[in-house]
Amino acid sequence: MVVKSKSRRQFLKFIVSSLSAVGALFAFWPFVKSMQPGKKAQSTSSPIAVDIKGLLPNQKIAVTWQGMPIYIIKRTENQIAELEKKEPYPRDPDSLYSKQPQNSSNDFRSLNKDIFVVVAICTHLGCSPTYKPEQASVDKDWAGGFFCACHGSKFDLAGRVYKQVPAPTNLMVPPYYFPNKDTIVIGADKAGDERYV
Amino acid sequence: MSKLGDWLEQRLPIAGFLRKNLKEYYVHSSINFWYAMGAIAFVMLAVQVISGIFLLMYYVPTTEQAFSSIQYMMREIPYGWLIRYLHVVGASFFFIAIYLHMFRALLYGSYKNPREFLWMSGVVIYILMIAIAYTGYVLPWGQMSYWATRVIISFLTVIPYVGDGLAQWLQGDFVVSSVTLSRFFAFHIVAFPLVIFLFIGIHIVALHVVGSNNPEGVTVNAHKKPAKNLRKKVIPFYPYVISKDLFVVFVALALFLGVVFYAPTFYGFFLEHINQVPANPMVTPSHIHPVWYLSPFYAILRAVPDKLLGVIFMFLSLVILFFLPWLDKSPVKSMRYKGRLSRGSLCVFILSVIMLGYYGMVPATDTHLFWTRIFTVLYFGHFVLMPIYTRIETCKQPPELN
Amino acid sequence: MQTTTRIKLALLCLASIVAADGLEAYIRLPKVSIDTSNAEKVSEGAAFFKERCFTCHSMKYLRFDDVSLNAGINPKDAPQWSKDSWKGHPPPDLSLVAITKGVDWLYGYLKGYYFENGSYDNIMWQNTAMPNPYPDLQGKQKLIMTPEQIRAFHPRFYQVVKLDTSGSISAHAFNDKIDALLHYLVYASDPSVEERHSFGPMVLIFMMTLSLFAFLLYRDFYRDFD
Repeated sequence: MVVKSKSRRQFLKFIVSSLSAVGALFAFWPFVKSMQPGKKAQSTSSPIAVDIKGLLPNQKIAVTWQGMPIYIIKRTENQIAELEKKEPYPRDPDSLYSKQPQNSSNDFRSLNKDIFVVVAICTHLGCSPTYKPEQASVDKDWAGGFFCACHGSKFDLAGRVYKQVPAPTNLMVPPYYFPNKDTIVIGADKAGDERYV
Repeated sequence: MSKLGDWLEQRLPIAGFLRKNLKEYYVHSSINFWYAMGAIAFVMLAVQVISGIFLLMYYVPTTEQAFSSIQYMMREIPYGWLIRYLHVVGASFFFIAIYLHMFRALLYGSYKNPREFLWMSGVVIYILMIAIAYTGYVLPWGQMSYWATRVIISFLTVIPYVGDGLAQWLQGDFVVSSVTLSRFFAFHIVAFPLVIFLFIGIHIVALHVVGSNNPEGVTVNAHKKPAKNLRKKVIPFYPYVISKDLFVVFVALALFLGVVFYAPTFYGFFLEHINQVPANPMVTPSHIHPVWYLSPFYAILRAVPDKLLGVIFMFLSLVILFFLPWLDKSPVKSMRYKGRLSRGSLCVFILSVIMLGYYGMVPATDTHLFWTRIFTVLYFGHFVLMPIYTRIETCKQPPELN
Repeated sequence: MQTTTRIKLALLCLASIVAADGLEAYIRLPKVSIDTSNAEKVSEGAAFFKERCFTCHSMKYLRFDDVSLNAGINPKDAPQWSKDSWKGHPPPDLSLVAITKGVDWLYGYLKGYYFENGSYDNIMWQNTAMPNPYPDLQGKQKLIMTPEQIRAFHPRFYQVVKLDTSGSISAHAFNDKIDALLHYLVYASDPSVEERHSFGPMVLIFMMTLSLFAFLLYRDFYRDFD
């Protein structure tokens, strides 16, 4: 009898303590969840449309998407030819270790050869690189590209990182598409929800 | 592992502390469910602290944004509504638990020798709770927040000579403004909570010095293991009493969550409808009243037809609680052994508190004022006449511990 | 004085808080029940709000509410009024109106326009600043009781006004529209209802189970002293 009542108590103790633990875990959940980005933050992550009608070669349009600076640039014929060489400098020439949408996984890291869209955040420590399209504007071998003044990282005009600089990977390319030839939508691969625009 | 445990225990004796205060803390077995109200209050305090921290992440203490920041939090932050309602309903449940806890003290004479200090520290906690509840009520910056602040700050102006200056000093402006909101915010989230934590600590330490009272009113040595023949009458706090507390706390939490999920505003009692209108200094609501838990004091304020005396009586109704241990001249502690007069007076007192609570929420018509005055007199009568009726009544002989 | 009279008087005093000396204090409103889980009704109401209310009133706290945005109610497009427009009574924001005014009152107000002496007035709010938003739909109602009669008899809402000339839709269809609008206003005042009611049962069942086992454990411990 004594043994039986003891095991009953053990059982009840186990049930109450384990249920309490489960309850505490569930009670945690809403608090953890509440720290995630709210609807307002989510809305700024919605795609944005940019008019690129007047964009000339060697020019840059800077916009904000998800709070990040996005550069839209237009490359010249010479620059495109330069990119095709690929040799000898990029660290990750085929962008195997870098982030870009599937449809931009090519030598130019873009949908069109001339228009290049890139997240202007250095993959080293998050500074914003400067767009330097002119030849020899950073050093005498400079073929045009992005230069990060914080720690001297260098990227070519497809955002590919050069060797012997601190940045490990190429600049990130955001998802985008062209609904027509004068407009670019950043933040989506195809037409979708642009209600918050 | 146990070696590390021993090492730590010698330097920070947590296990020893818990053993001494839980397992080797003895109470009388007649302790009943009324004795779990403190545990509920403690849990509600934890709810308030945690939900408060998370509210703080989104609340903006400016007159322009206070109201909308709360609305945005409730609508745009995942589970923001839950956190806000936990805090709102939690405040009311905290007061419910404390009122029941105080009623228990009145019922079983827990304020009497040697627990006078314990009782007084509890009254301080109660007054701090009122201060926290009031400053918190201001923060949403709804109509009632604003006008209640105006009214309560005007209490200060009754003080002769310095009153007006004091009111301006407290609100930091010539009217209630953003400055006032900011400082009430600081009081609500930092200053008052720090003081209340201190006093809760004092309250618990004081309790463990003198030991818990009990419905039979018998004296128990809280720190001495009972003799063998007393083992069924004097029981250790852990695991026995704590298992009862746990059960009561879970039931209270179930009720609490039921309200949070199904009636978070509790029909306008916990979250008043009129406070869902942003503050407007140009329009006074036609009927101002405080939340239910402060309503009796507001009724007393209105019952007295004089500004200065009204405020004095309102504060007296709180201050008089401090003197309770010395007003009660009865030789016994518990209502179980007190005479008819004490029991009757307690019933009348409870009724008057409830009725004052009611009259504090309805408009002050003549009939209402008449009854408010009657119940105000009964409220104070319970205390003022206590030295008399506790002396003349015949009490039953309380049991001895054997 | 008899108790019932006293209670009635007390209720009257309570009612007169809403607006001193208004006729609405004497009108008994029907109890309106709104079920915001009826998504169809809510979005129907949102569409009606967009059509008839959003021209003047904002819904500023529903910035990212799908129902509202789908109906075209975007706080960014809400009309802006200066403080002194509308003779100092600019159209208020309606995000919380269902809580602050109460559904029953809103029902009366939204259906309370009557035509008298060449202009509209509202039985629930005399000389209201809001012009009748839908005279074309509702048609003209007229007052069938004098203010003195209303004060004396405490009539029900439908006893006070009567449809005189009908509008472009039937009275029944108009009722449906108001009902849908109320659904939307209630939904807008507290969009947490849906989430609350979906978690509520689980939470409560869990807490009751926990309480039950805690009770058994407590009984088990106290059996030591039997």
